[in-house]
Amino acid sequence: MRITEEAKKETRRRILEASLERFKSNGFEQTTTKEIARKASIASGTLFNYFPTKEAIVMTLVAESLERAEHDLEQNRPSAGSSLAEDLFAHVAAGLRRMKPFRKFIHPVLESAMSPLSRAGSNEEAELVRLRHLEVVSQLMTEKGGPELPTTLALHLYWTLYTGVLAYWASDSSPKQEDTLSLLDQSLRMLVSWLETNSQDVH
Amino acid sequence: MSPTTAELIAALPAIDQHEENSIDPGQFRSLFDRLSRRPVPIGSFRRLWSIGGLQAKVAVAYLLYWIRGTLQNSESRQQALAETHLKTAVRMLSTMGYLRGAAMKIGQLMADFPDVVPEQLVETLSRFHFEAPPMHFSLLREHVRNELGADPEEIFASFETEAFAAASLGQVHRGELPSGEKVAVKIQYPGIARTIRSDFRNLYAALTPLRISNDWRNLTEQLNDIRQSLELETDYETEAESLRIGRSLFGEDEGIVVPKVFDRYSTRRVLTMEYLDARTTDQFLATNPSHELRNEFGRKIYRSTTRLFAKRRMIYADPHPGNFLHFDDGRLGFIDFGAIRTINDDEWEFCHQAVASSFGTLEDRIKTVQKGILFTDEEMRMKDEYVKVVVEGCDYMCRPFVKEGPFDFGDESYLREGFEFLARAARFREIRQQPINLFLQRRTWELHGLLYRLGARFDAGQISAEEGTASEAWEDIPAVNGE
Repeated sequence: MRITEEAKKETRRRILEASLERFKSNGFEQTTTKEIARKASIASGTLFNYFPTKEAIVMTLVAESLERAEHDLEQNRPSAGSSLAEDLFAHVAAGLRRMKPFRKFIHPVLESAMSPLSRAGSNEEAELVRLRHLEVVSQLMTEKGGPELPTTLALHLYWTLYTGVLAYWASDSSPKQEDTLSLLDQSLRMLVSWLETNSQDVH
Repeated sequence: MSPTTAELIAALPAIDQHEENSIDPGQFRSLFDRLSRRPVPIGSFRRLWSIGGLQAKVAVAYLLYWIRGTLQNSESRQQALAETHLKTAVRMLSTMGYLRGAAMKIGQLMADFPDVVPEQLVETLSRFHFEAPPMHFSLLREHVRNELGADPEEIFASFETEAFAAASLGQVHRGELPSGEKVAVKIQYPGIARTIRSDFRNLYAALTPLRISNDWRNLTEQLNDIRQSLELETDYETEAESLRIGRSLFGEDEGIVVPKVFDRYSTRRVLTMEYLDARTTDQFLATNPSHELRNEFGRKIYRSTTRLFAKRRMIYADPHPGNFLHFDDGRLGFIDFGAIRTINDDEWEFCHQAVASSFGTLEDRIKTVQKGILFTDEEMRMKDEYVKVVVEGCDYMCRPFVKEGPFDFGDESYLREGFEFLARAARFREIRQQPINLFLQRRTWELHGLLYRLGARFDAGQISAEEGTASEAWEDIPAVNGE
């Protein structure tokens, strides 16, 4: 039983690595699940035991990167006197760093699973990512904004901005994606200033 | 006796009722000091140049007078259209965050004067620094990583997370290289250079329908020239090259230090330079320095900008107090080479004529003015009075190096005379001029303002002669970049 679990884990890892490699060289649209299976040395049917769609594979890659980003952030926290805008920036930026290898093929996932337009609960992995991300955001807002929890409205607004920045980043053609940094910075400044001016409504 | 600026402004029609628009000669010194002694405000990035605000105000008052004259015989429909376009342009300006300081000023003007003219925008844009939002360290870290390939903490032996100075569209941090050299790292706000380019295209498009005068073509040339220079200012690679050129022009024994550039740590958006541990002009003045020391720094400041001009055809267009540093041993630090305008062959020839004629006859000077403001012979005859005023203005500008012996830049009446000249000239509502004049004027005004603050007295003519700009020894210098 233990071996099987380990073998499963190993297969899953191989599929993710093979996918990343194929997506990078062929693009997301052009890559077939068949090619991924061949690259991972498994039968085509076996792949579906692990991931129902290509989007699910990317979603898993995203989820794993964001998890790693959280650990990165533990090592690289903004200084004690930092503003809420900076804390939120550092949180998002750490994720962008980790997601950089699949920036070019994150679009379908954004559309189908992470966008505020996607149906709630349509993708379990995406929902977990969203909840975990918002938990951290909520914690930061509480730390900097006061003892009470931010409202659902504030978190919705944040998520809309966040996925908007991700969508922009995915197709940002500026040198070294410098425009994304500026968009993120200014979006968060705007959000924080909204939070501050509406603190009575928010809390 | 010629009227004062205050009297001239007071005589203008329909002048702003809310702002203090009078310049009390008695308060001139304190007003000037207040304007120029603003600290480098890292927090708000409201970095204003020393005398520009006052100058712009004077210019605006007269330009308004000018536009009213231009439009008074046109149909009211045309007037209304012109106002609509101007309001659009001003609204656009207010969305350009880096223009905040200037936009606020223009917004205030719009509220007071609904018919602000594009010429006024040219005047304003040529004389202010763009601002960028301050960057917190988390943003800076990502930006530096993108630019230099690793986090600042990995690249530098040490790196201060707080900026110590503001820069054009960015900020400056102290650091230390692994080799132990102390550096100043200038970092530009991400993406802002490209934003400016596209905003200027839009602004230009909004202003284009306003062909309300015959001088439109010349006006757009001036506007284009400003835009190009601002684009250069946002390119740190160009600035690094200017610094290298500047550094090569001064020998160690001359006591003028231009910081070294560290290429390995520099890109178009990040500029790593040698850190000069010296006092800013304000800090220097706070030590109550002796007259001799002030004069000596004045000489060095004058020499440094003159040499760039004479040897490499470079106009150092931003000689404000923060760009010169004062070492305890008397050396001068000459920093920030962002606002450099290089001179092409035709312009160089024009500059040569202008300098030569400043030592020549009145007729020579009139000819130079004719070329400088692009009048035809016919027009010249009609605008005789205006030409006389401009000649007076040129004489005024050239006086420090034409006059024999030491010139007292600390003399308040000299500066006041300059404002009065501006006011008189603006009343003629003429805007045509060679684009290069904008930069020469900006340099001259800021430089004279700085030397006034230092209270410096020295022989500017001798320095100009030594540097080869004020004598027959005018050299045929090739332009930078082989122009």
